[in-house]
Amino acid sequence: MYAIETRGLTKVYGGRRVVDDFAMTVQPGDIYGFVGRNGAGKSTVMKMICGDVAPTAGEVVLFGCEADGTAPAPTGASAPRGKGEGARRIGALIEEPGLLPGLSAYRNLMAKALAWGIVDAPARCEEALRLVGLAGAGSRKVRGFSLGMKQRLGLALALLGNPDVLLLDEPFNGLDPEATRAMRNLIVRLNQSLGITVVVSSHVLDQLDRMVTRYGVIAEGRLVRQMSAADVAAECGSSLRVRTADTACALALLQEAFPALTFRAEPDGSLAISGDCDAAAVAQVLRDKDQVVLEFTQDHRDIEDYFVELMEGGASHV
Amino acid sequence: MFNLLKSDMYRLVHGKMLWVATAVLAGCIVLCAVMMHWVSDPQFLCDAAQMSATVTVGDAAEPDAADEAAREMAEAAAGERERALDDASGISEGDGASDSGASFEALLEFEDPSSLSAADFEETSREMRTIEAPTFMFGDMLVSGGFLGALVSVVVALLLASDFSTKFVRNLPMDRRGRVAYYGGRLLLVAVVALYFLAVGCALSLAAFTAAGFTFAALDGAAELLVFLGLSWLCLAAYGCLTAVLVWLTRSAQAGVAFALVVATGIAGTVVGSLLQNLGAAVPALAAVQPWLLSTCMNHDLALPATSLLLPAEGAVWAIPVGVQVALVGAFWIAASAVLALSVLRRRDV
Repeated sequence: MYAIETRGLTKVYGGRRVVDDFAMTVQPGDIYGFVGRNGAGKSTVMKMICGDVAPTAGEVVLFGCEADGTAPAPTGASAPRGKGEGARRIGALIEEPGLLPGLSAYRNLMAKALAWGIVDAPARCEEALRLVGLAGAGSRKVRGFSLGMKQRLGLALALLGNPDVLLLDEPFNGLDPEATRAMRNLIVRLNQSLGITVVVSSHVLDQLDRMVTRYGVIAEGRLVRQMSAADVAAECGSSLRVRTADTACALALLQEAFPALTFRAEPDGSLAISGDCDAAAVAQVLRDKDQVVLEFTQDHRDIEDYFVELMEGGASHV
Repeated sequence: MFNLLKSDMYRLVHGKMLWVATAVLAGCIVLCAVMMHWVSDPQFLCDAAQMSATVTVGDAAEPDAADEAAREMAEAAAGERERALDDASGISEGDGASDSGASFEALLEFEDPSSLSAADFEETSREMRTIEAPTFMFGDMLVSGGFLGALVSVVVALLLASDFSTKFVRNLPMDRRGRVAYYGGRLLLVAVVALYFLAVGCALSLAAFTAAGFTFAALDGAAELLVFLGLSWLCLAAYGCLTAVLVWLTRSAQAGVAFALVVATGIAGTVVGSLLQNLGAAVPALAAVQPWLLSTCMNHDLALPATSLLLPAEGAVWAIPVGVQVALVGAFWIAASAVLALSVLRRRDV
């Protein structure tokens, strides 16, 4: 059972398909990095998942049950129990935190807690403030908060009600390096200590790279690719580029000799070999089998280049 | 829905807006009471009578056409006092008391204010400080002038628009298949806000005018009071609901405030009413619409003594009482707002 599953999710604004047949799966416990250009549809997808925007077509399934809780709930302890129960399991911080500037941080939290009918609201609000490191600023009016504090308060609002899934849209926007690190550590802590599944979209790829367990790439409203962090590391890390006179034969030989490595045939006839590979060992195998080597180079691919390539490929494909 | 209402009440109580609006309401009521106390003071009446007599006698001696405007102003200002003084002192004004020209003539007869004793002014003051009934005061001062309607609408506009301007709405529970709870909760909130301002306005005006020495000729019966307050609340809530729908459609506080100032005050209603009356000469059906305007109910019907709400409405089918007519109009606009919000607006994304 997925924490989040979208099926054929589509949103049309004024005849333009902003999100088109979007199918994404997020496993419970994931920190899911959602990557895409500006305007690719990330925020719209997140808004549809948390219920702020109604999909034109398709559905959102949360923990195996339709997000509005209308479908029969599957058996199991973690299954949603009633109408709107699925939505209650999501906390979201999308675009910018929705805060009431005239109220204190604590009262912002209380206003949300009362609206959701959260039991023991004052204690939950204090706890949320403590969790995001704003315990000392609870009585201060939000109007005087820095951007970082507002983001943290937004996160505290998202955490109210003990959600199982957090949707965070550009949580590092406008934060200085120290605040960015604090926010990243907080997200990881929430995931590891409380078991909260996190979907985080960001343009700061090196921040995602440090915490994400799975990636999803969106281009022009379509999901281009989903992969694990290990896959990305393998594809972005050092790789060998080998071009031989007989590509098919070389591929078969190398796959047999190095079953743990990943091989990809490139359009120019070369082989891209990624994974923990020893260049000398690969060269030895090719020499032993009398393969004519035309090119043998070691590549280093930047994660940014990798995602840009994926997004461009996705966009041109779409 | 009730959780949302609880949350909104929390925001209102802990925010500034409610208290600023309450202070404005209290300030206006106190100012009104102080002014009424001042103009009904026996000394003020005496001074005003002397001043009016001097001005009008001078005008009468040389009836200059160029001073016609000043004459009319003096006449208008003296009109109310004159009637009261006439009642008190028995000064004759002929048989044309309701005619403005005759009133002015009567003022001319009022040549010697020294002929009036202090007791006359005391008596006049006492009469001026005797209000027909509490509901008459509430209706005349709070409801019919459009002040309370505008205040409720402004508060509703600012409060509801802040949901979208601050994006706090994203923190609120939203049913994916429609925002029934959200809009339903907000309409309930409008009713609560209208009730609050009506209750506070009535209580404050009662306290302020009592403290200023005003008394009531008669007290309303419980039924009359309830009917008046219920109908006033309905009309205020109707204006509030219409403001809410406009804010939800436009997502703009400015649009809501503009509506409050132009429509909820009754200005637009007066214009439409006049237009309908004029067009009614040609198309009688249009004139029949005028009593059914929300502004007519608020600015005219609720300004009358509460007992008149039980009288048959003028020109209404089946001779229904005025109160029923007001209730129908108020309920219609609340229902129309609710239908629009719960059918069309609930599909809008936040």
